[in-house]
Amino acid sequence: MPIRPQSLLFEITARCNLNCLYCYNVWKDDCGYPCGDCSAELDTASIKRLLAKAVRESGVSQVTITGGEPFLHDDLVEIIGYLAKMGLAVGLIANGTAGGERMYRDAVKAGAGIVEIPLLSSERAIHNAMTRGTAFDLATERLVDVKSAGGRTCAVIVLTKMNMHDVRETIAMAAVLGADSVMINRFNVGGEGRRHVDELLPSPAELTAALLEAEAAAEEWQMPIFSSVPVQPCLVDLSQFKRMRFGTCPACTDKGYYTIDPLGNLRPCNHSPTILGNLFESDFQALAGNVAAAAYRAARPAFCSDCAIVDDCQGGCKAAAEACGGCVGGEEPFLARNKESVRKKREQGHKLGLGLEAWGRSKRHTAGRPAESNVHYVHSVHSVQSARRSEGAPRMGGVKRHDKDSCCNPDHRRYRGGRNVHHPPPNDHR
Amino acid sequence: MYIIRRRTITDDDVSRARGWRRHVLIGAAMVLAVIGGEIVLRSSVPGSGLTPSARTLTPGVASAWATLRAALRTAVACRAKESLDSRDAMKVSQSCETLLRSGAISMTTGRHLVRTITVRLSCDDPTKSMLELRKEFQALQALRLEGKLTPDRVSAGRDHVARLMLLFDAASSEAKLIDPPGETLQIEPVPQAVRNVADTLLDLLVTEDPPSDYGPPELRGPVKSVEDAIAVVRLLWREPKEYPVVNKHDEAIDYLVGRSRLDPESAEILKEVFTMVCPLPDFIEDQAPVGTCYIPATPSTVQDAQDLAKRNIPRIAATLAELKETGKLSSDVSEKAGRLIARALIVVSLPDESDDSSAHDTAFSYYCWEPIVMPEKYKKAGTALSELLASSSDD
Repeated sequence: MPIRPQSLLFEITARCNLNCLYCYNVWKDDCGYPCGDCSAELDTASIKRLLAKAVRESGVSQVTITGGEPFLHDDLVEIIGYLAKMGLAVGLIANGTAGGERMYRDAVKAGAGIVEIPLLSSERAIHNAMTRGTAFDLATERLVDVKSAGGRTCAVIVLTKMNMHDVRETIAMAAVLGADSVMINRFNVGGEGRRHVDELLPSPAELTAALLEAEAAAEEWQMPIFSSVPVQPCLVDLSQFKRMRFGTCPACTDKGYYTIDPLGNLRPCNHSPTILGNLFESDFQALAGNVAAAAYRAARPAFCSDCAIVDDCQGGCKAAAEACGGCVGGEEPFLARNKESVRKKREQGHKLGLGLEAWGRSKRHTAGRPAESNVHYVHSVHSVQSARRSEGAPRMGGVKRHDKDSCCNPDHRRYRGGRNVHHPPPNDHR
Repeated sequence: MYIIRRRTITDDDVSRARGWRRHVLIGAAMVLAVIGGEIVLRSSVPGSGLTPSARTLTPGVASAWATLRAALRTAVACRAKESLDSRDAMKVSQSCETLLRSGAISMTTGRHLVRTITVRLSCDDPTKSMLELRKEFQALQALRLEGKLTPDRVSAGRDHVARLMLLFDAASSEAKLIDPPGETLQIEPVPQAVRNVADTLLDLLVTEDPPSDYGPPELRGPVKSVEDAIAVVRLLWREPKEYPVVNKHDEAIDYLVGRSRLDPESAEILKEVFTMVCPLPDFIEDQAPVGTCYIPATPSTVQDAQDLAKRNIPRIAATLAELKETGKLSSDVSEKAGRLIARALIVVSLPDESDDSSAHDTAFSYYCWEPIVMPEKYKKAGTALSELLASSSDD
């Protein structure tokens, strides 16, 4: 069966004018990622060929352009127009500080639909501290500029220890600036963020408190608020959230957002350093269906193996697990640091995993099973891992592995020596 | 619109303004307070942003108005293509039903409301398709007037209207449009909910036409001279609320085109604007809360719409003022956000009969709120309208 994702992400450039503490760009990590020195980029004609091929082979209806900072690319507007003329919905993820008002207007005019811009705090100092620049005034201005030009905006809040006290005020500010929606993601460790985990990563209790503030603000301002970075229901009781919607990891599925890097390499998502292959060399379907992609789809943390909802929850963000533990089937830091509390709750017989209805993307847990059985962990005799073994789970590929020995999942340790599927792009595409 | 160009609103402005214009002025004054207007009025309708009648409405009715208003805003902004789908259309129609059942609007108003919103929202192309769809509605009306839309034909009519409804989302897999093999349009499958909506629309379409002696003399009988045509345009332009069911502007405009008093492009735009604005005054004045246009998203529930209507713009303006005062937002950003809010208010407004009659002070001014650049064709049409109105001898 061909993979038919709804959207693709395209990292048009690895260059960025900011150096945000929380940045997840894979090349910000010292992993030797191909475009890590930010000098390698495709020319505009090659980008068009690449995107046309990717769109044709994947059948997507939406392409979101990101980076790096996409407005640093000279031909961004031209590429937006090119995609829009193909009938695609075009999104943009930008930091608001590169490109002036006119360029944003041109981007909207060319066909950029929704533009995501970070609004990390209503306090200038906090926003600037998190971005390590003077980004606040420009980011707020660009949010209004996009609206004034007839576009749609999504204000993006990355929840960290630095800004979690300010969530409600930040959402109010987003409303004032005309944002159509707010995306509130917990800090997801990867890229530059790996160096600042202690500084940034909130505890489940802190995250819950901040999300409750966001829930209140969503009600207060009637603001659609989404959380796309997975929040594990065993760590945060999602039943408290009636308005907010939470995502689970869709990587390498039809609901995923396969990511194309500045050189045409295809990855499972923008947080993952795994390169499935290069689109100049291979067909999208061949890459999306290769062994590395299949292993990505199948991976689950061993800690979660006997959880009844693991297939929906996926154990959190696989890319973060991969970036930090070296194994896509490992535990991402948010889970690894807090799993003891989950273990204790299990032992005490607490119901965990409440509030699955808040999962915007997950439906399987409500299909054909009594609701009650979906909302707490059970010790299933059917281990997900053993099931996967019996299906002949393929070997993992990937660009880099950190701390391979720390991988918690013995099944995945077997893949450490797996074939590296990274294909540097040919020079003529640079 | 002059209130924006002057960036000043006086007590006189408000006391002279009638109905919905009064509330738009108050809303604009609130925004001017944020962006640096000279005079702030808060006392007339303290801080509510709602018309007095809207404040006494039952929640269901107020919500219905809010939903309709949000839809109309989108239609006015010619964003129907990307913003509205069949679900939105359904909400519009359900809101109409609520209003009719509650007695909040008459069948006449409801009929025009539905026609305007439905036609406006149906069009992929804001100009051409709207006119085409209008013709379809008119054809339905003609069928009724000719006695051909008898009860046994209701089913066909229903499907016809249902088709219009489904045009919002023709690509949707919910419905497959099939060209008519004969005289009856078929839609397979037509969801029951859509049929219900179509029934309501049809009811609205086939009831209550204005009596033949309705309105002043210039609205009766055919247009026979340029003066007649200008008189019709002037009357319907300046007093649309007084004659909500009269649609003679098309005839008058066509006459003026035939006599080379209007260029065809401007004429089409004027027809569009007339169609758009004619039912708007009593829509706003009687029931609708001011300020639902500055909302983060189309309301997903009736409750959402009600809350948005009651809260958002006044609160957003107040919050903006606070953010500006505390320095959390820079002055540049505050001013831009203020303009955004002002524009949202102006989008739902109509031209004021101010003394300043330049093109910028016509209905088209909602396209030209700086820094938004008004499209040239609208400027041209606005100028043409201003000249026409100025040429009316009894002005």
